[in-house]
Parts: sequence; C-alpha cells; structure tokens
Amino acid sequence: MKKRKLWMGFAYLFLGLLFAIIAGFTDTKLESLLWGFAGGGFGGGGSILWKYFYWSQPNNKARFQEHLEHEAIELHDERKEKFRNQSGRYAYLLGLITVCLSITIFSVLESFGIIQHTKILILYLGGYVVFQYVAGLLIFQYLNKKY
Amino acid sequence: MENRVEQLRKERMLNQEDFAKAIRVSRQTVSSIENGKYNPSLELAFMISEFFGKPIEAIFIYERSKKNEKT
Repeated sequence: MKKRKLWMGFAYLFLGLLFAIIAGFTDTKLESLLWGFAGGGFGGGGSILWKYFYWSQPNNKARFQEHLEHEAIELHDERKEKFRNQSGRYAYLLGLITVCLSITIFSVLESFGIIQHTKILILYLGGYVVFQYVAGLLIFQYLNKKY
Repeated sequence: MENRVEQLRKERMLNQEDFAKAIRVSRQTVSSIENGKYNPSLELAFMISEFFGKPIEAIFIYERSKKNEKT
C-alpha cells in the first residue's frame, strides 16, 4: 500500500486531535461542531491507518493486489457505470420533487400558523431547486457539446 | 439481442468468474450478458469477440425490430 495513505491517516488523526483540543479547552458555541470534526478525524484516520497496516502485512500482499484488481474492475464495469448514472438521474429527480414538496408543506404549515419564520427556509429551498435544475441543464449542455 | 457467449464460454471450460476477469468486467455483467438482460457496449463486444477469436456477428445475433426498419 502506498506510503501516502499512512501520512494521510496520521494527518486525519492529527486534525481530529486538534479539533478535540480546541473543543475541550475553549469556550465556544461551535463546540458540538468541533467535536463532530474531531470524531470525523479520529474515525477517518483510524480507518485509513488500520487498512494501511492490515494490507501492508507481508502475507496480505498478494491478496491486496487481487483486492485492487477487483476494485478497479468493479469501478470501471460498464454495466455498473450505467446503473450508477441511472441511479444518479433518479436521485436528482427525487431530490427535485422532495424539495418542491417541502416548499409546499412549509408554506401551508406557515399559512395555518402551525410553524413560524419559514420564509428564509422557503427562500433557501427555492434557490436550491433553481440551482439544481440549472446545474443539470448546464452540465447536459456541456456534455452535449463535448461529445 | 441474442448471443452465444454462454455457449462459447462453456466450450472453453471457463466459469463466469474467470471469463469476467479475462475481459475485465464483473461476474454479474457476464451473467446479465448471457441471460440477454444486458447488451454490451461496442467496445466490450469487440473485447469478447477478440477473446473468443470470432467475429462479432458470430457471437451477437442482431434481430432487426420493426421500429428500426426503414419505412
């Protein structure tokens, strides 16, 4: 396994430790967020290091090559690539529908006085729908011109 | 589209796993091609034809459908 992975694992751990120290020793409103970053650093770093040491053992070297080969085949398998693209398309459409429904639901709930101060949320969701739709169109136009 | 991939693979005493490795696709893709659930890309079809040493049309049998016919 590449040495770069080892350094990456240590870097994640270091960042996790740094965030944990800041969260633990300072009085900040962002404490929960910092603990989240710390957890991410420890979890990610620990996982990378565990994989590095596991696959670097001499008796795992042949299996590691096989594992890499298998991973490359799975990643570039044309049928799976097609399904990944299709699932991305469905997720995109579902996302658009979900956000549009959310806007309607929040508007109705506010109209009946069940929840308040939703304007900023509705504006944000509306902006997000427009962004997602325009991004989809632009990416399509780009690909259409390129190929 | 029908194909003779399964027959040719069995003639060479290969299992799906080994054949998949040889043409660098997943075993599920080989299975889907053999069952006619998935039509390979032109590139993969050429790879399969090269592997078996046969022309593409000897492996993949194209049936002209009504919608593809010129009126």
